[in-house]
Amino acid sequence: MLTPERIFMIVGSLVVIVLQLFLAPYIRVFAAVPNFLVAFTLAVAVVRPTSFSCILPFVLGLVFDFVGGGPVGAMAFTLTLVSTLASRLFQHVDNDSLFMAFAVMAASALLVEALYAVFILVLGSSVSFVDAFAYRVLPCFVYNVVISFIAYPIVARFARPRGALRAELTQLR
Amino acid sequence: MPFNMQQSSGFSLTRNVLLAALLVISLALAAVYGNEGADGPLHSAQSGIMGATGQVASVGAGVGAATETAGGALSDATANPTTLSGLREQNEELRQLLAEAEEYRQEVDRLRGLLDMKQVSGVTGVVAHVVGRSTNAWDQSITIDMGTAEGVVSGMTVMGSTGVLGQVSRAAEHTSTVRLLTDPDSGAAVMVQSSRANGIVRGSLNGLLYLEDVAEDQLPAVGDVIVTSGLGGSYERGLIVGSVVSVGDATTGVGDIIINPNDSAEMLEEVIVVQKAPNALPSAAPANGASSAASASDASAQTGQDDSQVTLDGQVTSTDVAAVEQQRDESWRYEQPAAEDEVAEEGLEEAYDEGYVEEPVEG
Repeated sequence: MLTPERIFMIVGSLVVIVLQLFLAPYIRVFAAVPNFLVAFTLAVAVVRPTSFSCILPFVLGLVFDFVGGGPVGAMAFTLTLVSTLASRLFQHVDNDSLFMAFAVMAASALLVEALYAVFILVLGSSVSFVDAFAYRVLPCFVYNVVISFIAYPIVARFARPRGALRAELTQLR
Repeated sequence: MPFNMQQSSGFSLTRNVLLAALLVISLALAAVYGNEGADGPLHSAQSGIMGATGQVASVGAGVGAATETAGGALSDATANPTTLSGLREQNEELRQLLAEAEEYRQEVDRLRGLLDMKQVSGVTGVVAHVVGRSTNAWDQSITIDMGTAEGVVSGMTVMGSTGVLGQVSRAAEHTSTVRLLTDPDSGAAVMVQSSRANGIVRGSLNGLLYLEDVAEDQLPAVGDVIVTSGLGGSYERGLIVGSVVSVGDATTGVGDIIINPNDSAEMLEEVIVVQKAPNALPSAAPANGASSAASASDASAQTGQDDSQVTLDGQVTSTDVAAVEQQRDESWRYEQPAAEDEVAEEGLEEAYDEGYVEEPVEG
């Protein structure tokens, strides 16, 4: 059934793909290129932890692999694994505070970049892990965290399950 | 079901199985990608998709320009010059036209720079527009709007208006991906122009170019010009890469040799894909450096090339293009016999001794 949340997820996915293709290369800060797909996926994983499907990160990761020029399958694997872990972790540590959501997103963003770096190095890049961490993982992690923090309220506004909103309202009353 | 939006209290077995399946598929794709060659199905699909997105980007730019033009025409048709608001609109239009004219003027300047470079270095190639840049921080590449249909093939050298930028890594029908020299996995066989010492220029994650594999007794000095040596056949010979800006500790030979590239892809909108370079700058006998795998494979690759002209000139001491042009005017041209493997292998001086090359004729 095509619920408003589902429509938002589909439209949101298309939007972040367009942003990644046509905006991300031009707003790089030094070597850091933002990854809108990662930010969106992690925000969804935290906003909808109980109903998060691993299809979304797999598809978006695969899109990134094909348009980004990196090893095909690397981001699909990384994003699927980390975002699923994030959603499951958030179910256990969620205390209705914004801090916990942001902490889980930040930790997940770092894990995504680190795992992707491992993929790049294992698949034959000649750089050292220290260099990779200093010049790619950390800058990209910081950039992605900032974007995911910006994306979170938007995703929470449109993708949060109605049941959760009702429960929150009831709790507030 | 592409997106599972249903509320559930936990993760069912089905979800876990699906997760495991997707992870296995991802790993399998990565393994296949890592093991297949550049012509493999995944590489080909990736190249096609990157090319298509590059074309979309260029079409998008065209649509944007057309929209602006249509908007301007519509504004022209509806403007009322007798009113103040009409004059303001006209003023805005003129400003827009001025901006467009300035855009064209800058493009003409850039193209003129490329044309000058072509004339100076004597390269033959096609001018391409940069239509896309990498969306991945790990991949230092650009997408250009020329492909196999225009004669661009994988491995061709790509230049900006003043120096080497990189190499075509993938070529689709109408687009190509250019791996930049600054990419950590990029490498070019080069030589120091003054000493003829061979080496390898490599990119790095920090964005600098490093000169490696240079013999300790032939370390370059700050300011030395670095040109491609043509060894290995991956890059055309005699094209300027940049100049040395740091040699570390020159007395001990310890430290990194850092190259300042002559050209950067950051702001470039047009490039030249070199289809043939007349070896504008000479390569003499290879020095005893360059012991890497690249130069190990170079000898065999060299033997098949340089069957045309070899252009000799003096030592170019500046990266300035005008200086290079002046040097070329004073140059000597030689006709080199074809299929003389040793000529390329051992260098021109030895070739003269052996009599493989004709005596130089001025002009």
